[in-house]
Amino acid sequence: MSQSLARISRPWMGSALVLALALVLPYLPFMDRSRTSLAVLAGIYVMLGLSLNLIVGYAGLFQLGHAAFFGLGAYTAAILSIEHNITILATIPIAALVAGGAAILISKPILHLRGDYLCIVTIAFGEIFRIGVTNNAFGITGGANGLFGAGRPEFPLPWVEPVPALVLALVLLLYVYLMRKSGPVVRWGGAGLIAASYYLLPLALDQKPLFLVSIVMAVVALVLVTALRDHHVSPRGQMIALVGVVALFGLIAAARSGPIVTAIEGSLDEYFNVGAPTTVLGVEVTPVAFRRDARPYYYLVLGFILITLVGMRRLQDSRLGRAWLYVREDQLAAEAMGIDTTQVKLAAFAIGSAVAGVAGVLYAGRFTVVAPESFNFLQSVIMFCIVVLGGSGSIPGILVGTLGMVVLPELLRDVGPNFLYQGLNPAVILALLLGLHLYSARGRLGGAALESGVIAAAFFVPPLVLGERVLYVPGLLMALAALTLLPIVRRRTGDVLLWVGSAAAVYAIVMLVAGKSLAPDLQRSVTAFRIMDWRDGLMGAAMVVMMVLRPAGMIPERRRGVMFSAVAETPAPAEIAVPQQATVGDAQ
Amino acid sequence: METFLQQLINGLTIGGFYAVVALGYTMVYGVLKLINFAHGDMFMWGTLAGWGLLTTVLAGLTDLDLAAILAAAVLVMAFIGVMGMTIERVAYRPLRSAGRLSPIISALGAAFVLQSVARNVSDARWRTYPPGLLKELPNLRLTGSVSVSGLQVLMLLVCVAIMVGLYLFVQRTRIGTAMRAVSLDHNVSRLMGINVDRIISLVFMIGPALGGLAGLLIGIYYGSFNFTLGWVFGLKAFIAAILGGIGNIPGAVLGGFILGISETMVVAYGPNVGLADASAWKDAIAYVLLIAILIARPTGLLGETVAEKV
Repeated sequence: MSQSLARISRPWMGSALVLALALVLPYLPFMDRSRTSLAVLAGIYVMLGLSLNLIVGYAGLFQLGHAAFFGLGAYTAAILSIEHNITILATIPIAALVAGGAAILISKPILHLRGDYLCIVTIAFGEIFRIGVTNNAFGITGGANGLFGAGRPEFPLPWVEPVPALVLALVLLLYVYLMRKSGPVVRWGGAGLIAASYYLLPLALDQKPLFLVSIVMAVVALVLVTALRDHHVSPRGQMIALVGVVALFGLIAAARSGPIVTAIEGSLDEYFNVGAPTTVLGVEVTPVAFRRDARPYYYLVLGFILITLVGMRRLQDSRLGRAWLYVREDQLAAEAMGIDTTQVKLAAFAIGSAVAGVAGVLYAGRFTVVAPESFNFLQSVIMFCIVVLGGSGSIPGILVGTLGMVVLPELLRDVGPNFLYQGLNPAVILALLLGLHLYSARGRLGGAALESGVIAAAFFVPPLVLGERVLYVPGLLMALAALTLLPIVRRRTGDVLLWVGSAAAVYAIVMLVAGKSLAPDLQRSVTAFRIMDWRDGLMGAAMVVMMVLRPAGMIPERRRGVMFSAVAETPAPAEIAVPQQATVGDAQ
Repeated sequence: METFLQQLINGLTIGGFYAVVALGYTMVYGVLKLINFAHGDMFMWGTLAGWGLLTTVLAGLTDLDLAAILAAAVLVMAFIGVMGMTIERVAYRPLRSAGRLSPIISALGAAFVLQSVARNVSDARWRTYPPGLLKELPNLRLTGSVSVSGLQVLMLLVCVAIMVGLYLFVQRTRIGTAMRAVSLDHNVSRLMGINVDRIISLVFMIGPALGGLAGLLIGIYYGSFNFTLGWVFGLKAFIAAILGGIGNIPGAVLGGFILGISETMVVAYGPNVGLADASAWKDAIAYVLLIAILIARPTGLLGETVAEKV
């Protein structure tokens, strides 16, 4: 028991920390309006990364036209919302069907192609999509300007029947389905407990908005119990956890029902527009619409990300997920094991594209403008990089990739040109560079530290002596050049320090002599430098450097194939003869 | 009929450019099995460098068109050749054993860098070549109203000369034989005493140098360009290489001509068959053609069926 707890605790801690951070993010002090909006965009890209990860990371297929399926979802939502007045969240199933169906139609004939051909064909489809929507194909895409005025998302007021009953039914169905292998006590008893406490809270206290608390409680109970089941906690433990959740929510709701109801109604007024009741399919519902404020939308996107994540994890462990793994590692062996590789790949394309379509709906609902340039090749590359730079197949890698490819470039937009030499910034940047140098020079730390010291001296002396902060900029270039050239120099000569020392001395002397007269010109050209002009180039350079330094990505996936080879490396003596050991691990 | 002949000649000229750029893709793919996404942008750098030379340095040195263009061609080829070798050294060689995903990202990154630098060098504006270059070449009259401009003939001749020269180089010389050996198997080539790294470097010099030359020629032919030229043109040239069967030099040439001719033909005859805005869809032709060919003949027109290595 304690061993299994230790096994699950570490990955859980990281995920829980990230989840907690994601939950409070919009209310952190540095999040202004534009950054919250950026967080929403980043969330949409995380979803795109997850969907593409299914195709590229799990199934090992090339897809450099993912933006087309994102775009299909967005255009479907926008067209249905503008032309047919369908509320945008209701278009999600349609958009997913359109994107997934298109993926099946398109990829069916090309899936047998070799990797690189597939890559170029997916680029071709992406370009055809872009050219098509730019030229206003079928007269419904609005041409180069795109479509304006997609509606903001609406949902029914959650505590007016029949919404609570529907939600409860959904949760119970899921619960009963997911716990189908558990005993009757956990399965039916747990379902009954959830249902009873769900209605007990709002009815006993006679406060309808408390249904919101009930919904949260039901979802938490569902997630917690299934997670405990997946981690082999005993049925008794599962029941105790379930009772605990129910009791906790019941106590909180009972003790603070007044403030909770006021808070719920207050935030409803603050963040949403409550519309007049309308009749949908013979049932009266009250529509609640999102406003411009990005914060509620952030939680909507976060919810979709969590649903996607859970779905991905379950898929990964399913029969289909294992089939993807085999196809990725060795297609011939997979075929020999009786896996229909075409169907399996097709499934990856279809599911991944459908999720991208859903992300497209979220995009259309947030930005209300859908235009061709949001779905061009650069976007496909960004999505591809999110998956591969972070580490193909790795979910934390997607977060890192999104931060690097989407968030960082947008934040750079705010950075003024004098960022490089303001305050403590030059020292911090230099420390990062030298830290990287020291890190990569493990084993000969003394020499590396001396080199770093020399570089740091040449970096700090001229600006400090002359009192011209702008001289930090050539200093940074000098440090970069020195650190790039160091390995080459080391290969040629034994006496690195002499070379570094003399080069740094020459630099420092030149700067000391010429710095005073150079500074105004330098100031002018630094001020004229606009980072947005160079953004793509910096991104490209970062892509090359990242790949050269870490070809498997920042946070590589823990390859499940490795488990096989780990077994094969230290086998019990009797197991060596077992032929099944020559599986995935050996084929790598 | 006369329009057809005229369009055929136009298509052949464009196709010649596609073919020369496709040669670079196909050679690199042959030795490394890598889509060199930076190749299109190196081609654009050829146009850019040629523009820079012809409008500044060489414009002052000589008033002879031909001498200036020849000098520019030599310089551009040297410059782009070194650029290609540098990119191979920096962005591709460290990743040679790193799987299939990483080199693609690295290649795209190199392409972004080239494009971004070009954008800033050219101030993101359309740039024009000096007017009147080679315009005094005599026009060739074929039939009554069909004529070929001397410029077109020259371009076509240069392109054909490049292709034939490269084909002979690869088929007849020792280094060419080494290239073919490397494209078959790196390790066995190494056992045969071939310096694989040097051969790959050489491929990355020749391919981009020829691409850069094509860039210079297309600058002279069209007269104006901007920094986005490389991406679309490069992608189409790559498609041309696939059409003919990648890794195959005659195939790249065939693919280039097919692509050039079909583009001009669709733009010319599209309105007649009910495609009113055919020129707006021009760029899509290459992609549709690619998909059609790959469905029908997955290894291209002249490509041989190769079992994927296991």
